[in-house]
Amino acid sequence: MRKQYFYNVWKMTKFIFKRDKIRLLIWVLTLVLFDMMVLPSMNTMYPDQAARDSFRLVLENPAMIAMFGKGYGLENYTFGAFYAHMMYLWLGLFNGVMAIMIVPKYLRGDEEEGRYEMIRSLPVGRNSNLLASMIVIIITFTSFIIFKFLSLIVLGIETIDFAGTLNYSIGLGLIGILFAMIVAAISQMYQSNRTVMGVSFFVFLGLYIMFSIGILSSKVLLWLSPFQWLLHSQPFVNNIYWPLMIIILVSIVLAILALYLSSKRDLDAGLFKQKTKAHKTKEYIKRPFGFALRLNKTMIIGWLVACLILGASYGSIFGDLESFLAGNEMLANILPPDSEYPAAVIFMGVIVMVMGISSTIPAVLVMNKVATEEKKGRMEIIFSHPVSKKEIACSYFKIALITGILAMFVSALGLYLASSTVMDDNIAFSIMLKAIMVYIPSLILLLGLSLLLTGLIPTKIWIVWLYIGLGFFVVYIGQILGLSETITKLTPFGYAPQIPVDEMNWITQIIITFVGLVLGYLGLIKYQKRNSL
Amino acid sequence: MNIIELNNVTKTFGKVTALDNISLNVEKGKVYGFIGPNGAGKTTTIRIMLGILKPDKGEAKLLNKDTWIDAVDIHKHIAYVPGEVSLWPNLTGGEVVDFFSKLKGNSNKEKKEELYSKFDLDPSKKCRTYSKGNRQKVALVAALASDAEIYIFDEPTSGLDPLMEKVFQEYVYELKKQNKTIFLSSHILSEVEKLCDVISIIREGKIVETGSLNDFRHLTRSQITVETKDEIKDLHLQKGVYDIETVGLKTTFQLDSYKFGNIIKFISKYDITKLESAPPTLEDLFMRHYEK
Repeated sequence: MRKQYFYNVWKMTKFIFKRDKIRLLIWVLTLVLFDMMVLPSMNTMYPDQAARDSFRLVLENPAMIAMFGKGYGLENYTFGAFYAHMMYLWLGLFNGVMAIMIVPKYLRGDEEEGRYEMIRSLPVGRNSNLLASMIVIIITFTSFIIFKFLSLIVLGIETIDFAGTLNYSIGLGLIGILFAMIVAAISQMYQSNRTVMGVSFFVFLGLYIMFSIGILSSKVLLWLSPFQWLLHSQPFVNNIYWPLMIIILVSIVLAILALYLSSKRDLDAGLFKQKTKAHKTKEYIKRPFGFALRLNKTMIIGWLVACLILGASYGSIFGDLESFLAGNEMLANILPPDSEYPAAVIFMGVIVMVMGISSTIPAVLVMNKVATEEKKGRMEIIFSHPVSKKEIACSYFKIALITGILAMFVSALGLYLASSTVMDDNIAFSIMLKAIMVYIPSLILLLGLSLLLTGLIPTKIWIVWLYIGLGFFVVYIGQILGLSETITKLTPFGYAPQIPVDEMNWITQIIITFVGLVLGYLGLIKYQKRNSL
Repeated sequence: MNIIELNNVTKTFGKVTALDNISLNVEKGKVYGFIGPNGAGKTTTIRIMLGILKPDKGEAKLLNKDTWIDAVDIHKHIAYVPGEVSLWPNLTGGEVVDFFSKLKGNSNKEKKEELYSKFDLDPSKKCRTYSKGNRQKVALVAALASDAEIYIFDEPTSGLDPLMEKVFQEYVYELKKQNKTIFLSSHILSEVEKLCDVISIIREGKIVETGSLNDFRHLTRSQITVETKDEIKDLHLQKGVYDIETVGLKTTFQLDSYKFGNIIKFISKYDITKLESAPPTLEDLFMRHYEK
């Protein structure tokens, strides 16, 4: 490759850092701090060999192996071995996600927005931006490795030793770099930022599924997945470095591939062309309701699939529930000690809470669109037509409500389908459905809140997320930490009964629904009266 | 000497032929106008000149170097303003301009200050707050502040108000005096008419006319309004006369410029009391090329 292709690469590198240093810093610190917080709490939760051994038994079930890997050093299950078994793969996944979230923006984002064209009209080589992005990523993950290493050493936990921590930190950093290079190669092939992200996540999931299937049934498949290269470095147990060398080699090959493709291609072009379809607008899109539905279609379908998978993955652990609960002090705390219901049913109540709250997310995403679309200046052109604000808000409300209920339904469906295959004495679908539908009033309250914010302070619509986050924290984590009842009552989720263990509290739920509708109505009035942004 | 030279350049995107065998030459010190409707291939031509698209066939040279292979060397000597300027929302206009001049390697602080005040642009504001016109000004300041041989402008004034348009035109005159080469793509015909030495018209990927405005006059029609004492007879039988409208003794018609003399002789027989002739504009020519 000609030297000219890399002209001004350092200036480009500095420019990326200048634009994005804060975001990069937040990512790195979050990933480092996460470990720093989890590690001590795991250490107190599983202090002795007996506790760790009992949990090891849980991890030996096939579903768990598929999720976490087989683990190393099981015969001498030190805290280090246990910690790597629990966290190494998952933190590796997080680093992969970080790379996929960061890199496309540098490569395709700027190009798609037309900013890159001006840079390319200046004396900048055609590979300079790509190489600069790679340098930025390598520097970022290198600093991640250093921070991670230092932060874990500082904690001074016995079996989290120097050599192990080094291997662990380097492994995690390298898997991030590998995924950055995968994204770099993919972004030379596809034209839009969204497609690059989509394909990257698809590849990411594919490699993880390859790992999961491979570890249970096929050595070849297993070793084709980079997650196995990561795990095989066996931090805190054997600290092997050759699997990490594979990661480095493959990263280099991918980087060269990306640079080669970039040196050959036109601006705005990819290896795969975007398809041009015949233009035909479906009839349903021609009213505000249908138009809003069309805007949100892909997002809604994506979330419904995600809810189904979430339900199914929770369902799959029902088979070994007894041993799972025995080994997990954290979850055991949540369950009442003696009850007329079997543990599986009680456990379902807890799980349904998580699914109920996550089902509200796509619904609120839709509802918030009224404000976010306005903020992006796309509502103006719609309002210039004979369409009332009321019609728009109501269309979004209806779509949001239906989305939320559908999400609850598919969550329960996933839970049922998976659990009924692994349980001898399975729980009926109708019970699961009742248990989750209890969250409909909470959903209505959140939608009402979103609409109220849209009417009053549309720029601060994120307050809804804060409220949902608080609800999740208080209800789920709060039970483990033993927060008092009054705090849980700050959010609607705190009032939802765990069916069938608790009695259905019709009056409370009707009041919540009513409050939600009133908030929504007030928001609607304010929204109709206020100026556009 | 040709500073910009495109020979038989063809570029296709899938099944669409964006440029079909295009050739054009721009001599040093000339202002070259490139006009055509949306989607005719103006921006594709410019992108080939910038070496960010590779021609399928033909060769493109700037400063006697291949635009694709020697892009970086060429770019040290050119300045470019795109038609649609998109900037980094979290940087200020000034930061963007400074970054561009740093990449270029030459920075003229006084010139920048002068341009900021002439274009009435506040460089301390974040780019996300700029309107379309202000974003265009950022690109214009960056381009005009740099010391280049070739200036390429792609519809540079499409977001500017008439006052700013005038400022831009003054700078183009100044560059012209310094013997710089300017390539100006536009569909604002008055601007092209005012500034350009040579004009090309592009349509559906092909260059349909090239020449100076004077050359074009032969292809254009004048709007004639004439009043005579006697009624003009058989005007419609004369060659080069179109769209005749007669109200009493007042007649208006379109006239091919090269038939001017013949027709004046013809109508003078009818005792002219009043004669008005509107000069041909590029617009007439343009419209004639695009009428289907």
